[in-house]
Amino acid sequence: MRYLPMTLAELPQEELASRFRSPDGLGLHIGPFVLRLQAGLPELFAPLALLYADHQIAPGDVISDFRLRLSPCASLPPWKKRARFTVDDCKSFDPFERHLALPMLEWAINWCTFSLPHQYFMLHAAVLEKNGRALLLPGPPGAGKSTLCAALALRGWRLFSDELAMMRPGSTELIPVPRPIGLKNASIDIIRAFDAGAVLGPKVQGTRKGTVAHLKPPHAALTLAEQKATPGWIIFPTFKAGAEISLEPARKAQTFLWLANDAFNFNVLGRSAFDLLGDLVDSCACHELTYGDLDAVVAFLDRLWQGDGGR
Amino acid sequence: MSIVLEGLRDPLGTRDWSNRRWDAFVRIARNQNLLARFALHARDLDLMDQFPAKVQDLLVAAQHVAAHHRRIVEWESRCLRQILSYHGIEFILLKGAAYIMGELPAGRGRKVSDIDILVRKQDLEHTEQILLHAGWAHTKLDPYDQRYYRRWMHELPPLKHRDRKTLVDVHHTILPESGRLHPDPQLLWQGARRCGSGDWLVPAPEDMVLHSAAHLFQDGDLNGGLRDLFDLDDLMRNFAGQDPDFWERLIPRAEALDLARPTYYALSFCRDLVGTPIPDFVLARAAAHAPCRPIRDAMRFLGKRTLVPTTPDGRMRPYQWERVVLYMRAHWLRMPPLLLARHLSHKFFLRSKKE
Repeated sequence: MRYLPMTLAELPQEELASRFRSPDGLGLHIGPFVLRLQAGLPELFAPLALLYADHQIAPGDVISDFRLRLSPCASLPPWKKRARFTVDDCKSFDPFERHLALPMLEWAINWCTFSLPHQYFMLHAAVLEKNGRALLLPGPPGAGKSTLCAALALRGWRLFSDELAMMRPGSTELIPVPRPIGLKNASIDIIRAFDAGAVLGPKVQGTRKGTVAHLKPPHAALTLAEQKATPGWIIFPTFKAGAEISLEPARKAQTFLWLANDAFNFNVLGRSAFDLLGDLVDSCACHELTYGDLDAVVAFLDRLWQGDGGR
Repeated sequence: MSIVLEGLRDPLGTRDWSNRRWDAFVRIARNQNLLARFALHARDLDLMDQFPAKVQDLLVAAQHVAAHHRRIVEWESRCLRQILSYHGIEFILLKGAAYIMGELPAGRGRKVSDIDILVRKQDLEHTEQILLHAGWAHTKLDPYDQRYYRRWMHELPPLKHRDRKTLVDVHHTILPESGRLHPDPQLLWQGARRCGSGDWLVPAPEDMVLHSAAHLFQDGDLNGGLRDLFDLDDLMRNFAGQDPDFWERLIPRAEALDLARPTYYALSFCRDLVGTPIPDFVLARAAAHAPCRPIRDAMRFLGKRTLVPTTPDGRMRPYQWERVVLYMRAHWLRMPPLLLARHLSHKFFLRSKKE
């Protein structure tokens, strides 16, 4: 089979639709993973082509990590249109209303990347990089992690992932898994106002988390997709309307516990996760950050990075 | 032959596999909980380096998951022993927990979703109280389910630990009391032996094989049963290798335990699908307990389609009516018709009430 690395944007529309419908699905490189995606919902083709435009297409005969099928399904009452996911042709999730398909698809890809690849140690944190040094932003939902991550990604930091800090046991080097960033409710307009060039997918209302829209990762996140980074900072962000920027040191032991509690597979890896997380926390500057203004905090983090010499 | 079976039966044969074959194999083996088992066999054969990098990666992940399950089983078994032995209650570890704690080859790379233990029926209530006090809680809260388990099943309603979220199934026998076959738990207790580094009580070798067979072909619906077939294969190869009389004892023991029919199925499917080296005389003896021809042929057809859920090129079969039939069969074997009718109508009305 002829194969040249090709991005989704380079694939003609008709070809895209036929690959989504083919039994092999469309192979997409997502960081080190290959996702085979079969989608039977034509309304998704355009948003996916937009959000994943810069992602590379995998050849048809590559070994995949996950296989995901999104298909319409019958339901009662029949006028309520529903769809469902199947992972690896084996595991089916509960059906959902069809207009939620895009956020549900993103959620299903999250599910795959969070709960299957146990060859990696996976923490719940946004990761961005500049000059080879990475910034980890862990934090509970609602803390403003994704908004800050999106803002940094739009201002020259390279996006590794919005939710997944991934390392191979034995090394603290971070592995990029760039994907669209999920923005919720007020964040959507904040990011739109923050950068007029931001490319956002359609707004979907009525999800479990309110209104959701996805930000296409900046081009640079995908062109350097194989370059890893050394961790430099672990910063727990909290957004507080009107607050001044304040940066407080976080104790290492506390940081370890917070991260361990929020890791996706700390228990699965056991001792190697314990050792790895210890090394990670030891090698980073750990802080808690409160902010009230997106422009100011981005400038602040840039200065922090410069002050550290961007080593 | 299906790709999953091919790879698991003969890991050496995978060296010249195409990416497409690997893609199908890994996906199905992972979902049938057999990927870690494959990984360990491949490691024994020094094959790891010859696999594509992606396959190596996926095998590493599967081994991490299996190691995790092993740690859970070891920890939970110790917890259970600590609590129960303090109150003088003896228990036998069953299935996955027995394979792992008994240090049997069948425990290598085995995923374990719940810990199964057998206690004496007179200890059942006391055991439940102890576990409830020690942090376990009921998962089936519906009073009908609670009554149903206690009246008709072979185990307590499953208990889940409040903090650790692990499940324990406390059995007093190995098949539902409402079912057609009634293995005498007294015999299991007589045969039980100590093994593993912690002197764990596990069933006799034959009984482990027979319990696994009974679980798969009498009490279950064969869905995801490929893993159980490979358990049986590991167990029988190991026991027969250690003890030449193992085969002599198997069928008489099956007859004594009232498990000859499921044993016949287990042996014939193991030989057909997995290639377990079962001597002819054992199969011939087991065949005396086979059902009549049409039923045997039907089971052979349904079993093959369900145990190996893929077509030869590695695609999942679409909607499987075979599974529905086997599901009905499992219920039929579990309960006499009147009870079944009552049970199903209750479940049906309960569901419609909820919706």
